[in-house]
Amino acid sequence: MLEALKLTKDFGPLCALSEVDLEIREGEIFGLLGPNGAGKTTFVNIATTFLKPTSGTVRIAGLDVMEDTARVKNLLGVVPQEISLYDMLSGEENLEFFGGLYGLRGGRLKTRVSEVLETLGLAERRKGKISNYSGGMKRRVNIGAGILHEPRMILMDEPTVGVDPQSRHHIFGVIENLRDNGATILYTTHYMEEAERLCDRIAIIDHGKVVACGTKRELVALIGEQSVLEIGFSGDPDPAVLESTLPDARIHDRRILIHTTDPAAALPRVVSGLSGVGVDLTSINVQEPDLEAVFLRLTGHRLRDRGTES
Amino acid sequence: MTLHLIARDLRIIFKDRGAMFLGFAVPVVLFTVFVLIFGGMGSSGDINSIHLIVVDEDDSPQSRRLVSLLEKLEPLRIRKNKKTGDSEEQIPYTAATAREAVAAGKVSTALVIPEDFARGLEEHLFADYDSLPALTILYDAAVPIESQVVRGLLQQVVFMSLTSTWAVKGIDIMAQELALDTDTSNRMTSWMTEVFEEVEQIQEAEEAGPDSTEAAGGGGFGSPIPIKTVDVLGESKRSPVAAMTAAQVVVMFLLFSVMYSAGSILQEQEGGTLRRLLISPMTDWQFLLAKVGSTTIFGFFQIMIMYLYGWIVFNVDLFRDFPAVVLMTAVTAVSATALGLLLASLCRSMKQVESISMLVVLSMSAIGGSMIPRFLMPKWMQDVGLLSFNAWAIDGFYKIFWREMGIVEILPQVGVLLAAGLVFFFIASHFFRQRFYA
Repeated sequence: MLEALKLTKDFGPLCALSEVDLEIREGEIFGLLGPNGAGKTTFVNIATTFLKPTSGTVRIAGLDVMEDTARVKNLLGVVPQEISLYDMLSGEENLEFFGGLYGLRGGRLKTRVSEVLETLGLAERRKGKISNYSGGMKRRVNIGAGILHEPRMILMDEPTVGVDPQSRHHIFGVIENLRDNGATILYTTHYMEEAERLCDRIAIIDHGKVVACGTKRELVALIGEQSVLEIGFSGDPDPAVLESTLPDARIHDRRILIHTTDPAAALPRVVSGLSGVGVDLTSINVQEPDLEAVFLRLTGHRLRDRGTES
Repeated sequence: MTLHLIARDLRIIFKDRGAMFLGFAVPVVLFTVFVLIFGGMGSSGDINSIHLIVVDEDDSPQSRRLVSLLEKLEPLRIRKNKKTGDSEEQIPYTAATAREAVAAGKVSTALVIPEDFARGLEEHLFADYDSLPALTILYDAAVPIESQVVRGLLQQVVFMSLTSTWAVKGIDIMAQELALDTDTSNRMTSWMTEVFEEVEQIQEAEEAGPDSTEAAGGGGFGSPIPIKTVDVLGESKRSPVAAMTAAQVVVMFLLFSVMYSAGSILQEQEGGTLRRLLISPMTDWQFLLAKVGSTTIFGFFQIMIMYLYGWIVFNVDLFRDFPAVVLMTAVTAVSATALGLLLASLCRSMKQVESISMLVVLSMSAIGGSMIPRFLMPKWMQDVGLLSFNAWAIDGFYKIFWREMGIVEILPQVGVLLAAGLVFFFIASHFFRQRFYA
C-alpha cells in the first residue's frame, strides 16, 4: 500500500531522513517507532505531500506522491500530531468542514459525522465548542477529522500525545476497528507500549535511519531473545580496562549493557569485575526482551533519551 | 524582586520585535506623516491656488473691471473658457457649464456675474439693496474653505470696482431725488469716504499676509451688492457631511478589519489547521482564493452596513445609483483583501501582522484622506496620497455619493484598485506558496 525507496530529506546540514526503505502492506497497522527527532514526522510529511523529499520516492497505492499529488491526497486520511481544529466551531462543525474538503456532502456527510462522533464517544458533546473540550476529546475529534471520509490509507502522527489513559484506550479501540474494516494505517509513536499493543509490524527509526523492521517477534529475535542487564556507574574508568574486564558488554553514557539469556548468573560476575576496576555502581536494571530492549540493543540508547522532534 | 520583574518584562518586550516596532516606529512614522500634512496646510508658501471659473454674462465695463481685479489676486486662478472636445478651441463658460464643472469636481467654485449687472448697479446702488443684481457663487461644499476664501475676496473686489467717483455721483443723484439738505449730503459723502478708507485697510491687510482673506470675508460690514451662494451638490442632500465622512471612515475601518482577516492565514498556520488544509485535496490556489473570497464578503457587508446605517440615520443617498455603489464596494473590498494578504505574506506571525498593519493602515489613512480630506493638503501631498489605497477608494465613493456620478465615471478608480489588487494577490500568493511548502 505504501512503499518508500531510498527516501532522503535534508534540512540544510541536518539529515532528517537517510535512504529510508519501507513497505507497508494493505490492511495492516504499521508502526514507526522512534524517539523525538528520529524523523517520524518528516516521513509523514513527505508521505502526505506536505514536504518534498531531497531524493527517493514514496508511492501510495502505486501512485508517486510527488507526481500524482491530487490522486494521492484523495486516498489519504491524516491525523496530525498537533490538534488541528477550529476552536470556535463545535466538534460536529469541525467534522462537517473537514468531511466537505474530501467531497462528502448532504446526507452522506451527516451520516458519517454522526457515525464518527458515535465511534469516538462524542455524540453527546457534538454541539459543544472545541475550545470547551478536554484534551482527550480534542484528540478524538482530531482523529475523527482524518477518518471521516473512510480513506484507504491513514497516517497517524503520534495521535495520543498528552492523552489521558481512558481516552488513549478509546483511541486504540477506534484504530483497531479501522484496521478491521480494511484501512491501512501508518502509526508513528515514541511509546513502545503503543507500538507493541497496536502494530502488526514495526520499523524502528533513529537519526533518520530505519535500523530494523518486522513484527515484534521478529524484532525481538534480532537480539536473540536475550535479556538486557543494564548497570549504571559513576566515575571515569578507562574504557580499555572496562572492555578487557567485561568483553561482552557495551558501554554507553555511563551505562554498561550486557545481553544475556541468564541475567541472574551474569550479575555477580559483572559486579565483581567492576569492583576490581574501581567503578561505583549507581543502578542495576534487567530488561526482559521487548521493543525497548531491541531499541536499546540496536541504537545504544533508550527511546526517551532524546528530546527534540524534527 | 521588583527590579527582577522589571528586568524580565523589559527582556520580553525587547525580544518581541513586533511590539518594539509598534511601540517605537509607528508613532515616529505617523508623527512624520501628520507634520507633513498639517505643516503643509499651515505654511503660507504652500497655499494652494484656487481655480475659479468666472462667467461674465453682462460683459459690461463694470463686470470686466470686476473680473480684471479678480485676476490680479494672487490666490486665484481665473478660468473663463473651457476646451471643446479634443480641439484647442475654447468657448466661454456659461452658468450651466460652470455648474457642471463644479459638480464634476473640476473646480470648487464658480462666479456668475448676471446679465444686468451694470444696469442694476446704476439703477439701484444705494437705493434698493434687494433690487441689486446678485453675484452668484456656485461652490462645492466638499471644499468649503475655498468658497469662503472666494467670497471674501469677491467682497473686497466689489468695493474696489465701485470707484469713488461713481459712488459720489450716486450720492448726488440720491440727494437730488430725496431732496436732501446739504448737511445730509455731506454726511453721506463723508460716510462713503470712510467706506473707502476701510477698503484701503483691507487692501493693506491683504498685502500683509494670508489672514487678510478672513478679514475680508468676515469683516464688520457686508457686501454693497448681494452675493448669492449656491451649494451645487449639497443643496439636495439632507446631510452632505455624512455623505463625505462615510467614505473616509468606511475605507479606513475596512482596511483594519480586512488586514486582520487576511492575517488569519498565519493564525491557521500557527494553529496547525493550515497544514491539514494543504494536505487535503484542496489546492493552495483554492485555499488562497477562498481566503480572498471570505474576507471580501466580510468587507463588502461591512461597507454596505455602514452605508445602510448612513442611509437610515443621515440620509446618505445609497440608492441613487445602487449598481455603482455595489461595484465600488466590491472592488474596494477585494482590493483591500489583496493588500491584507500581501502584508500577511510578508509577516511571520499574527503579532507582526497586527503591528505592521497598524502602521500601514494609519499611514495610508492619513495621506489617503481618511483622517483629513486630501483637498486640504498641500498639492504635493495630495499627489503622494494617490499612492495609498484610501485615496482611490475614497475618490470613487466621493464620485458616487457627493458628485452623483455613475459607473462610467468611477471606472478609473475601479480599474486602479482592481489592478493593484491583482498585483497584490499574485505577489502574496507567490510568498505564501513558497512558505507553505518550505
